Amino acid sequence: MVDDTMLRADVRFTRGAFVLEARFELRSSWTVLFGASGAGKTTLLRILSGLIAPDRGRISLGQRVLVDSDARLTVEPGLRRIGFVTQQAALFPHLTARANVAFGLHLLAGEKREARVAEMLRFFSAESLADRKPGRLSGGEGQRIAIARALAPQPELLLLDEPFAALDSAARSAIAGNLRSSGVQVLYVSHDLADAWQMNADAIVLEAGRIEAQGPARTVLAPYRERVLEQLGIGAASELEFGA
Amino acid sequence: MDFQALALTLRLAIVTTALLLVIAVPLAYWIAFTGSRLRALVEAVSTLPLLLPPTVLGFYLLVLMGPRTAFGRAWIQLTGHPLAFSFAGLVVGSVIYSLPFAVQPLVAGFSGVDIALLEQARLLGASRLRLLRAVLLPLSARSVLTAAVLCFTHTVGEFGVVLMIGGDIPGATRTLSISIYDQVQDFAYAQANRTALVLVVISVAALVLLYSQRRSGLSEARRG
Amino acid sequence: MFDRPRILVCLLAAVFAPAVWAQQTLSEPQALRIAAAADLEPVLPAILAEFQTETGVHAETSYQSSATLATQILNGAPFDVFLAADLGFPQRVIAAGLAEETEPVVYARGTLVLWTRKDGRFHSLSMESLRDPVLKSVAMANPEHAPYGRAAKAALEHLGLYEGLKSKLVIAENIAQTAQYVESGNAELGLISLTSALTPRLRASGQYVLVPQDAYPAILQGLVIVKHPSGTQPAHRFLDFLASAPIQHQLEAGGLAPAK
Repeated sequence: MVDDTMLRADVRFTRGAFVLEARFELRSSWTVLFGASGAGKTTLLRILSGLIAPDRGRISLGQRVLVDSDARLTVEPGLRRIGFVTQQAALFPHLTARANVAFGLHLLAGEKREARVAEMLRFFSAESLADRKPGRLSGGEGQRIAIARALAPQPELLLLDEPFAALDSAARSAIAGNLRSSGVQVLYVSHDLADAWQMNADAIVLEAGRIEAQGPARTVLAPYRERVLEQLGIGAASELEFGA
Repeated sequence: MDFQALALTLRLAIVTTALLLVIAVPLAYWIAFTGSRLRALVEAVSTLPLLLPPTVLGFYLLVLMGPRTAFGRAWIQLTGHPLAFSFAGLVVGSVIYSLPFAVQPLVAGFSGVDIALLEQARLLGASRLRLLRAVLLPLSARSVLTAAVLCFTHTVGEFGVVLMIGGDIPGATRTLSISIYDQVQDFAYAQANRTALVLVVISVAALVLLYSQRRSGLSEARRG
Repeated sequence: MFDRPRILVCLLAAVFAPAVWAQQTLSEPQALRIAAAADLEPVLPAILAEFQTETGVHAETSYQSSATLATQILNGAPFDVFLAADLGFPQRVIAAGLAEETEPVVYARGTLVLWTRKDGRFHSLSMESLRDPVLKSVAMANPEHAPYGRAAKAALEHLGLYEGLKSKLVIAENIAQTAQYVESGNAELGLISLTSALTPRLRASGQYVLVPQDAYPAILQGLVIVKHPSGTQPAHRFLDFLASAPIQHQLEAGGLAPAK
């Protein structure tokens, strides 16, 4: 099933002194895109989703070609079947949570649309939030609605750009659990090692616009382990061990 | 009290405002979001009517609409009389004259909408029209109201352009401002004062409507 | 509102319908449209009222400077008769091929007067008042394009006063506005038309002296009938009416001397 909807990308993008060159395939249904700030993670997601056009390259999702610069082919963002959730939830402030979730479902008839929205709200335990406007939602609640909104139209690929940064770990694992059980392919950006470590998935490491490594998270991220331990609060102990 | 002039003035202001909103929304959308190099030029041209003296603007419109230009001649052929000196001519003149008052607030309003929201709308499959209708316009509703009220009051107070291309024809082009002018020329000051008062009351009412909206919108429109 | 395009369309239709209706009222067959120079405003309305009583023809008038009216007519303004304050502007309309006549019909002679407020500084008004060093401001119509303005300038030059008064001159767009400037007290003296000076209002608030006739070229006021596809019958009737003896007397009483 993973092969059918696999994302393949080979893109090049330049802006000023920054050059992004990425060539990869997603082999797992949950991949972490890891790298320091400024490495180009958000830019890569924006290119995949269609908000930015690469200078040249080819992107395909399963059988469908989304971008092919040689053939001058570009599919519009709204037609790529790719959902994109940003760190700032970007919920429509004038619409209720329910209306936000329903926004991408305009192609469904009234009843089907309502059913799908109800399903999403249930899935993310957000039924009680349905009639509130984003101004009345907490950070975590807003993120849940944002993810529900992106997931509602049943995208083939879900891009998440550090959407959990403002959440506590309990909320994080709850949502992550929800997403994994939904079966959608996820490419999840993080510069937070501890997060990535715990996810037990594939990882792609991006550094200064280039993919340095790709593979199972534990393997690929091992060199950064020291930093993980520090972040998990074990750093002080190891210092004592090796000190003086 | 020249009720004919009052009715005409209100009709002109309403028609002009409605037309301008239809014209200015796509124009402002383009100005606010295009990456084209022509943007600055287009924005400048759309602001130009602000800088031209109204009588000058009126004069050039007059020539444009008259039998001296190809456009004017074509119009006369089609309809039997020139575009000027008619209500339609006034509408054209007013639309051009008040264009900056529609475009400026709309561009400011559109630019103030968080671009992340517009991107999400696109990602979720919204067409440009739906984006406008469902996201952009509701979130810049105050700017739309500002544009509408400013166009309305600006047109109500219009004089130089209307005098030039209108010809002061009662029932068709004698607006309230011209009526006052006539009354003043005639030394009928009492009448002029009454008419002027009506003009001022209309404009102040419209502006109060606009300014009373400001506060309530603040909490809603900010991003959650 | 944007989610219900039908309502929007209805609203726009409701707004455009009166616009179309307004257009219809323009083409009333029995109305005579007159473009009249600003100096005629005090005298013409009464004459037109009599004209309507006698012939049933309703006349609508637009009073502006002769220059503006000429410009409008040259650009297609739907006037039937153009009563100017000089001969030059009607001649332009003729030159553009828009008039019935080949020469303007002189219908009256304008008269220039010097006017001041009764409660002003100049109690014994005369042309010498213009030489008074205490004088602060004199209003006149624009000598570039207003017929009475041209006459005023000629008169001042003839009297050797023009150069000296230049810094005190207040230039108005048309002769009616000139009267306003001086009547409101914004200018101390004003070179205005006799027609304005003879209005009840100005008679009550001020006094005038005639500017010597030999000081300026005669202000011959000419008219033309503007060509019309639908015929010019009402216009001709008006001309006949205007030329009739009783009306000529009325004009004279109002400050416009007969064409002789």
